[in-house]
Amino acid sequence: MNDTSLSLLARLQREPESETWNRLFELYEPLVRVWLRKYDVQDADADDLVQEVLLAVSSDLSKFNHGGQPGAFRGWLKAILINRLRQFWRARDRRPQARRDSDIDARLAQLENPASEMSQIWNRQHDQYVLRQLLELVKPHFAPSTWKAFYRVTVEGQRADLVARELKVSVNAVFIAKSRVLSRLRQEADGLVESSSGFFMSG
Amino acid sequence: MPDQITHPSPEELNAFSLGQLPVDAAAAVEHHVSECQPCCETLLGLASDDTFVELIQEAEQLPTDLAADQVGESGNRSSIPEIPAPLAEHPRYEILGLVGKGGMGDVYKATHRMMERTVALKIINRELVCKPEAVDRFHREVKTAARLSHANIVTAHDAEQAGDVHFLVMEYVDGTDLAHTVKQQGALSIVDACDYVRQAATGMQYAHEMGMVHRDIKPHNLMVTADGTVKILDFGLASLAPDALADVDTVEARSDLTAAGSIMGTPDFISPEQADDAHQADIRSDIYSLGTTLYYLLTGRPPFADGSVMHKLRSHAEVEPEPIQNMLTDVPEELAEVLRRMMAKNPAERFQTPAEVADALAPFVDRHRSQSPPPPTPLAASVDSRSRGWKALWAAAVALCVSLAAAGAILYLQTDNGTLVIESDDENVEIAIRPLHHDSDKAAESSASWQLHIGDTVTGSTVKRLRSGEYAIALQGRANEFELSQDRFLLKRGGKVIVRVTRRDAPTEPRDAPDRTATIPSPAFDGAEIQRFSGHTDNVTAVHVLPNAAQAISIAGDRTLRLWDVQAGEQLAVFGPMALAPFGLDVSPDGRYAVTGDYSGKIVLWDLKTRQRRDIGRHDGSVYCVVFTPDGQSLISGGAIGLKSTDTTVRCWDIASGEESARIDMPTRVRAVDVSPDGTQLLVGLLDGKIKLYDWESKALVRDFKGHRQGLRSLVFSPDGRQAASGATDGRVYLWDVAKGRLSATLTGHATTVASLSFTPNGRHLVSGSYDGTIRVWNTVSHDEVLKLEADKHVTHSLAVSPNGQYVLSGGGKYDERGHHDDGDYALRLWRLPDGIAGTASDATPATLTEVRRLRGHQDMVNAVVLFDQHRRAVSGGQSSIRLWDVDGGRTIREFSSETSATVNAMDVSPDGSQLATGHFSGWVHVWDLDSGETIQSRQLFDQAKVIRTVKYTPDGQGLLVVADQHGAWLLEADTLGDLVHIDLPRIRCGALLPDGRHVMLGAYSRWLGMYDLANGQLVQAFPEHAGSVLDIAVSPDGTLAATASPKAGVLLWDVKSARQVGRFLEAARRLETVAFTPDGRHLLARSDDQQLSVIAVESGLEVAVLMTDNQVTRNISISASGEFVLTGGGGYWDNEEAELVSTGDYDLRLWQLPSR
Repeated sequence: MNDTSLSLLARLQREPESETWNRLFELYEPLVRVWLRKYDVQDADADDLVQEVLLAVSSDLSKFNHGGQPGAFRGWLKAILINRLRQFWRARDRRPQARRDSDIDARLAQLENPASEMSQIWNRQHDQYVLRQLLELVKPHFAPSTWKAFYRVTVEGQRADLVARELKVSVNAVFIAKSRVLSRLRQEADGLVESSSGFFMSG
Repeated sequence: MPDQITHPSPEELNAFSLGQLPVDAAAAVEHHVSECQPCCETLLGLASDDTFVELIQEAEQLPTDLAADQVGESGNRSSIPEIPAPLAEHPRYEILGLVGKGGMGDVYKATHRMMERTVALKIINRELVCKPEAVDRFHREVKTAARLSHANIVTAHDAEQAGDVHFLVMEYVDGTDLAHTVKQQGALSIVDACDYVRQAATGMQYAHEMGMVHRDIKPHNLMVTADGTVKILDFGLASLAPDALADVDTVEARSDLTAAGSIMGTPDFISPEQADDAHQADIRSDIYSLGTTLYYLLTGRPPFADGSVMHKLRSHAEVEPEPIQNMLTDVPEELAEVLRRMMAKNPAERFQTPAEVADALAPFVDRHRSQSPPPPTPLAASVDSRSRGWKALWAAAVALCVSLAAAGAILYLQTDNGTLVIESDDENVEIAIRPLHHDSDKAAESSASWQLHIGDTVTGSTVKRLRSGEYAIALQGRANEFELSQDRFLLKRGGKVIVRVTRRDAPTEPRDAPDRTATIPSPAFDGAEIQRFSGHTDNVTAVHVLPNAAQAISIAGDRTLRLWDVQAGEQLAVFGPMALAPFGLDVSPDGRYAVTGDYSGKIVLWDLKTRQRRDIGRHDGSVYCVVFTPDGQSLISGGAIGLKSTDTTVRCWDIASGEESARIDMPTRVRAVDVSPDGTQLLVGLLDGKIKLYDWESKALVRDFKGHRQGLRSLVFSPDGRQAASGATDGRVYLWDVAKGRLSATLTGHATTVASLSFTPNGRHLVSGSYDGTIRVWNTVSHDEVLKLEADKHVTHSLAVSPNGQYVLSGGGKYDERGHHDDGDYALRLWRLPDGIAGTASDATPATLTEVRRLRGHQDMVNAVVLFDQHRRAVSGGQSSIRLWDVDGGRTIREFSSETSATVNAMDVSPDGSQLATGHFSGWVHVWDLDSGETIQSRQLFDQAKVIRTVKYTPDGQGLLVVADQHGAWLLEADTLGDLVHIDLPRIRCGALLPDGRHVMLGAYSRWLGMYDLANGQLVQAFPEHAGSVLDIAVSPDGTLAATASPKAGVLLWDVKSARQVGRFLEAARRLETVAFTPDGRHLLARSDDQQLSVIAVESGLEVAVLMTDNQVTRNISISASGEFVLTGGGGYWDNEEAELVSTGDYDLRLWQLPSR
């Protein structure tokens, strides 16, 4: 499996740290921000905290090894997020609304538990956000007609023959477009998005 | 066109389409598909998406605007459109529906959520209360009217305000007003008309005596219930009229308002002098209006029916109404004369009081009503109601006598000090009564006893010699055939005691007398009521027994606080009536003071000795609850909705200065507060069912309890402060473990609201009082209901166990189904508790361990502790931090952290003291350098929601045993964390190394206990099935014995070599989670998930000490190598039922000195 050559994670781990940081930020800033908000961090504080979380990721990224564990990266990111959120709220302990604090603790404990509903939501959202970034990332690599065919069929869920008629291409071309883009997305997403792995092996 | 043979399979095509194929395979299929039409057809037919594609689709639907991710908090509360918003959302009243519309405003039927009684709410039209003076007067007048308590008057409870809506809260009457009746049925019969008017006159007389006039008597304001009782509506409301009229400038508006209905006297029924000047109205004006009402009832029309309002008013003053005889032929001349006198233009010529009217109408009612019962005799005054109450009791007793005459006998012993009633299944029974004197100096004169033969005295007997006091009562012979309902009773002045003599189930087969000292009393104890204290004239809302046990206090809806002599059953003092009904009551620890709150938020301190009152302070809303702190220095009060505004604070007051010393904001209204007996903690119960625990010193929230789903009504600490009990409107009683905030039991049995709870002084029983008419006693350990006291539909609002643990005093009231309080029985009831429940003796206090040092620093739960380097250093780890401690100095030397080092569950220090190994949630294992704090090695063994239970260095320090809950066990190389051995045991829970370092014992939830060879992971020795899950294992220092902890079976002791069970200790209900041998192997420490540590002597199996780690819930322990000390850490526990980890606060480590033996 030549999964290392093209996956975004592999490239991130190879690239110099400054470069990694920018990419990571682009990739993860929206997701982390959403989750900080879920844990009652005000926007003013969120800017700093997003940076802290992603700096922690980027500095340790070269050492990260998913070791074949599906979803390991997002679990690691989650652990870091939880850790930083705990620190953040602890620093603001002794606040008047102590009630909220224990609530946050309980919710963080939930997020920490990989089997919790909260963790499932994290997993799903993580994959969604990463994929959205990946869609942007791979789009320039395809001819506009290919992309359009892929998008109509895969994202918008239209029938391939109708799309073919609309775009004045063969149905064959539509399927090939879909296959190429999805294949590329899977490669990019490998190690980041759980369901990207598990290549079909014929025979 | 390629050959058919080369077509890819549909699966392959689908994988291609979804981009799942590896690059090479994809290229081949792509080449084929680009030219193959049939494959395109196949693909069109497949059209299936996988998770990845679904994710892409979802990703494209993600909001680009972050704000869209927020869940909006839209206030889409549903409300009934007609109901004014402040009322629809009213916390105290639940609106059931609109029941009437009137000039004054609409009337709603509602439920008082707290008292659970049906009330009517009369909304006062805004224009009538637009001026502050009018509002004040309205409240004042209603308060005055609320003093009226009479069968013929609709009771006004209160005037309230919700937002800008003012409303009157009054008794809900299910009936029809007389105007409506006449409109429906036409004129009434003479008998009915006179009966109704006479009843109204009786009510008016009572009000008159209380200094009230109505000023708007008319058929609309006379309600008749199904049983024919007339109730006068709207006492106090006419006060709104003069100002309202004066405020209206124009004549049109004035007559509009008047025409609209009932503001001042209604023009059809108003007296001439009141029409002239409303302020001149007196009781005689009401008599005139009652006369016109009688005229209306008899003829079906008012005396001056025609013309404008002004014309009507003039007619009242100047025109004689058409004589009634002209309209009705059968009207007696005498009745016409009564009517004429009632309607005389000159007040001086009228009946001067309503009583005269009632008397004058009596002949017409009685003569015509000879075949039907007279109208209910209203209670004239509270004094009368008391005597009537007793008459009713007597009547009931007589009735009972008749009904039982065939079956047995009743003996009345009417003494100068009260009545003893003995009901017997058989006449031929002899009974002995002997006074019980507790004072030795009275013993001399107490030798007398009385022998009574029931058969001789069926018709009653008077024994003058019985004094007030306590007596023993016993059967003389025939004890095998009969039993007494009680073996002693308390006779009090004016009181009544009923003793029952019942035939035993099997009279021919003698059997042993039941053991009276048993915890579970025989059913004959049910109804062990020994005394009633009469005096209150409305529902008793709170009672307390003073610390001396000789006196009690009570408050009631009659706006009084009363002091009682419990022994004599006498009322010692009445405080009040107050402006508003008091709510919330407590007694100072020295018994000198009582404190009350009320609807206006006022807190009043009553000196029970000097009878002085002192205002302490007030809430912005009402005060439902107020308690003294145990030191008697402070008061704590809880606020709720009040007359003017809502108050959701708990406030603390310094009694000496009267100053408010602290305030805690609550999310909603407060229903109950209690302070722990040691004064360190404060429990707050909220109306919505939530319960909060606060630290008294800092006023900081310690934790939230889950609370009740609905209406909490009562909340108390147990005498030792470890438990709390709460009761709610659904009839449930919850018992709480305070340190954990965990529900320890749900006590079910009460059918409805549990309004009051009280622990017995030794904490072994809890007494609950309910609106369901019963009082129940529960065992606080077994959680069984051990006694039910039948209060005969008497609703218990409040009860208190006496400090000597012998009695329960209860107070309440009684409502009929319609919510009327009906029979005036508001007597307090005194109940004797059976011997098995009574008593103050506490269990011997367990030995307490001496705390040597406290290590402060952790800010959340500590799951693992290791004491090492003799006891000079320690490591501890919990949810977020790992600390190395200088134990002697009591300080943290270092904190360890990495991004994945959260939630440590197990740890160990290497034998050479240089390294620390930690096991974390979701599979991480870290090895740290203790000196530098750096990680040496890290490894994630798995990524699942599993806890690592054990991390333990082998004695040579080369290996590391790791046990992951329900996952497996590993022996790792300590340096590299590489696998040496992996033992797969799916339901594994715990493990312990043997001293040889070559074997390990593993225990599982599946009751599996086995010994394994660490060289190859093979099972060496299987132990017989374990009694319950194996929660922990300890191996003795010499390796011969193993101890295991089981949640149900206690601690089991095993001979390792033979795999035989050789001992079993602590077969208790506690959930034992940790076992550890002392270094000398002679003692075992067993930790349960509460505050207890038990020390067991291995040899004898005896529990030689129980060590209470104050209020901290422990999670782990570590014994020093010397065996002198034990270190504990905790602050939380695993809630097995909820399957979640619960933090309980207090995360300090504690070092304890173990007793030397």
